[in-house]
Amino acid sequence: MNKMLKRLAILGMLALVALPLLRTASAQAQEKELVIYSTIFAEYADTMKAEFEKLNPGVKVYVINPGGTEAMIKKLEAEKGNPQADIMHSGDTANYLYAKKQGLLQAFEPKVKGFVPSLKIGGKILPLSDKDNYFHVFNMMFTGIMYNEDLVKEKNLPLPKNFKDLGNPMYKDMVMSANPLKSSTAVTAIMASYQIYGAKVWDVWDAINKNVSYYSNSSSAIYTLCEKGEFAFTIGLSRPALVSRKSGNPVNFIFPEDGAMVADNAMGVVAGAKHPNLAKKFIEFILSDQMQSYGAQFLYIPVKTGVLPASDPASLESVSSKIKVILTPDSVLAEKARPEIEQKFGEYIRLK
Amino acid sequence: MTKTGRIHSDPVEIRLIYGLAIAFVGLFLVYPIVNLIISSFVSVFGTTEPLPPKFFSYILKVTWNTFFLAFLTTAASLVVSLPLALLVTKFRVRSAGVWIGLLTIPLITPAFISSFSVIILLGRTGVLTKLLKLAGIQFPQIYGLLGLVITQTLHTIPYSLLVLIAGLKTVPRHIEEAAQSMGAGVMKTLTSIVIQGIYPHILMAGVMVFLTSIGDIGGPLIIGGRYKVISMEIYSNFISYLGDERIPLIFSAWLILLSCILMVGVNKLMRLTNVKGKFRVGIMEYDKPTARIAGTAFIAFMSLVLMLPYIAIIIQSFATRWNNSWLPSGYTLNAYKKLLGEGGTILKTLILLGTVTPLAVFLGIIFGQMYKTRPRLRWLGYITLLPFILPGVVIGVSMIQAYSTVKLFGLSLSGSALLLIAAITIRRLPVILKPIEAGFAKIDLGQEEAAQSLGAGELKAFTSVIFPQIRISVYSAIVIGLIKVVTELASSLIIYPPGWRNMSLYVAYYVSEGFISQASAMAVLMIILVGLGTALSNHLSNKEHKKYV
Repeated sequence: MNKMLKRLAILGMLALVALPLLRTASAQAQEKELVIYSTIFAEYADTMKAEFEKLNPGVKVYVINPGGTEAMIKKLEAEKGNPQADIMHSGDTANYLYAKKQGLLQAFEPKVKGFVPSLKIGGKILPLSDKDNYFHVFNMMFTGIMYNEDLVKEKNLPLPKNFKDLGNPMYKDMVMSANPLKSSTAVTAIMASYQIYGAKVWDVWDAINKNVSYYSNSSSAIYTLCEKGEFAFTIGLSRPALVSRKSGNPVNFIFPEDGAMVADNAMGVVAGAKHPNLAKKFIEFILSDQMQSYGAQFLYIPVKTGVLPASDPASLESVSSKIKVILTPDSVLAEKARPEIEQKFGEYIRLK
Repeated sequence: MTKTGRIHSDPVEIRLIYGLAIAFVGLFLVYPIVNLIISSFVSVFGTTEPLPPKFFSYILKVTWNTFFLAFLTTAASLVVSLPLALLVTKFRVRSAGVWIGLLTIPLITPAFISSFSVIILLGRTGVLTKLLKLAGIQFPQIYGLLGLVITQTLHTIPYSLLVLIAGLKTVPRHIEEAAQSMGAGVMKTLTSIVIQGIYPHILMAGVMVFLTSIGDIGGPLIIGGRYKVISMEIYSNFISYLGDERIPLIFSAWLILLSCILMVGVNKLMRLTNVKGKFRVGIMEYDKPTARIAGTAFIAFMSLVLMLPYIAIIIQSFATRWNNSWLPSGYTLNAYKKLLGEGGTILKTLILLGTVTPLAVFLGIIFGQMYKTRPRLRWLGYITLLPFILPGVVIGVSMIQAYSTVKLFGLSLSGSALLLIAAITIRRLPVILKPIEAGFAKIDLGQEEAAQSLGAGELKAFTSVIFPQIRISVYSAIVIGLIKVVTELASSLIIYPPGWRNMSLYVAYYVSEGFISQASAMAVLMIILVGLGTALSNHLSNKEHKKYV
């Protein structure tokens, strides 16, 4: 046979022979590895992996980000018969309610000092654990408006105080939002306005929609593009905006006076996980004081009180002091609003 | 040889080879997709709920957008590539290998990062936008059709360039010599003889660019703005559990139907323009010093223009921050230092390159030969083309759903790299197959029949007579394969098992996290790695070419 064909064949065969040597997966020693599907911030993910491996010598942790919370759920659904993941990590509780309903999670009640099943915040109760213990909240952020200081100054734009202000025609094509049909972050922001404005919510959004340049299918691009000065305002979450500011970018964040919603990050053990003991240990590790403090370094607000001094910029006390009206997720209302959101944003997006 | 396409009348070894190739496609493409469609169909069409209002006018609008964008990108890509390919192959421009290498860079760069680099240059606060503003020119908004055409053209020029160069290398010199001896000038010879002689390659390049544009997700995701295209609508509706589940299915079926119609037309055109070559061709080069100097200057200028976004990526990889300013506010090696700890990521990429590329090229050669010699099996071409247009995420999910519980030699398919290898092979098969098919298009089957009438078996006739003539196209396919394997993302994102993060996934991860410098550094490393592979393949291809001159 021709030399070139032979070379191709030899190369392919060698690589195939090498494959089993490099296999990582399921056939290896039990409970010596932990597979986490997570969409958490990269630096936090690196820290969480390194610290868990340090505390559990011999254990290898793999953090896999399938490209967003929705993609993570899609992957878990497809793998349902033989899950590769032990832990579903990050994304708000609405995603976990869905995952629970689809049978993707298993119950586990963590026993961690200082972690309680609910938290009082802004006069309201924020559940931290699912009533059946299928998932648990490990940190949180708030919804609001990120803005680019340079662009706002250059265009001489006044800062919006309320969410509703974003509907002012002077902000035409200056506003960015993630696509709510794809991004649960965007849904959380919409649910904030839903709680604030009730039946009039679509009047508010009809006005804002006129100013939204486009609804991005990439949830992360909305922060990067605002950071670069491509758009003046982004409807999003506090943490990415404030981390960007901390690293020197000319951006800041507004907690709308009409209300800022808690955007929580949850986690749960995957149903049928191959390493359930390590998975449970991991849940407790993430809720430990140590990891709650690490999270705060990346401006995630801890769910355990007393982990940080009240004066710390990432403490709940400190952040909540900047917010006039704190809103907490309402899963019943969210379920009721879902078809409306689907229909309304379907129209906005299709007609844009 | 039979031309009837009846496999049962073929020798056993040929039946076995074809059977294995068809089985691979059946197992890793047809079955998972059919399985996904059936399971989804039952669940979503069981409802009596009406589709969203104005859905059909919406589907038509998105279809028009998709095809208009693909048309503009194809036209722009061919208009730029054809003169460049002619300069490289016909006018002995200086340092031709360097220009080809440079012009291949866009293909190696993941679409996510190139879209960002176009924003750095041409966004509202982009460097070139500022420059144009100083000259009194207001560059229009980049988010939408304009940004997409720019990004996709940049990305697809290497496709068309490589295919056209491969085509030009197969035009036999004696035809051009004859035209010249009859008094035809260089331009006349090029337009009347050479360009007509590579119509199959021009069509093939056009089809590849057109389909690449239709299947692109990276561009629409980052720079598409409100300009909606089918691939993005399938992706965003498929991945969401909030959207209407019927929408991605309807769009997928619609896209497959349209692409099949398109391919029927293209195949007819291919047959009309098919020019058969002679065995062992040499190519004609024109020794025109003025044209050579002007050509070198033109190609250098074009390369610089096309390289600007990639120069931006290199600068970004050293940047601390680069927002709304001519240059970054500071420089650091941190992104590269972090790469030092990514040996595993690079090793996994090399393993995937070493397994997927030969496998896909083998399959490409088998299907290329099959479509050429068995006309009745050509309908399979529509199936092998499917991964070009179906979003990778759909292929990824369908494979996991079909094979998550299956084990092979004790290895879980989805828990090891086996499924990942199969997925990337399937996804990249069309781009590898197309240049090989273009090579086959110029082969006269009479040669193979002559070899067989002299007693050679079909396999022997193929390896001794046919393969040497398509070797240059196979080199093109290997180069394209290396590049497309290293940049595959959408299926890998869904399928990759623990410990198998490759360079492309690394780039996507850091882009999505907003760490553009970190992603850029890995993109630069990818460019170097694949650049070396491309240089090696070009070197081998040139050695091969010299044998025939």
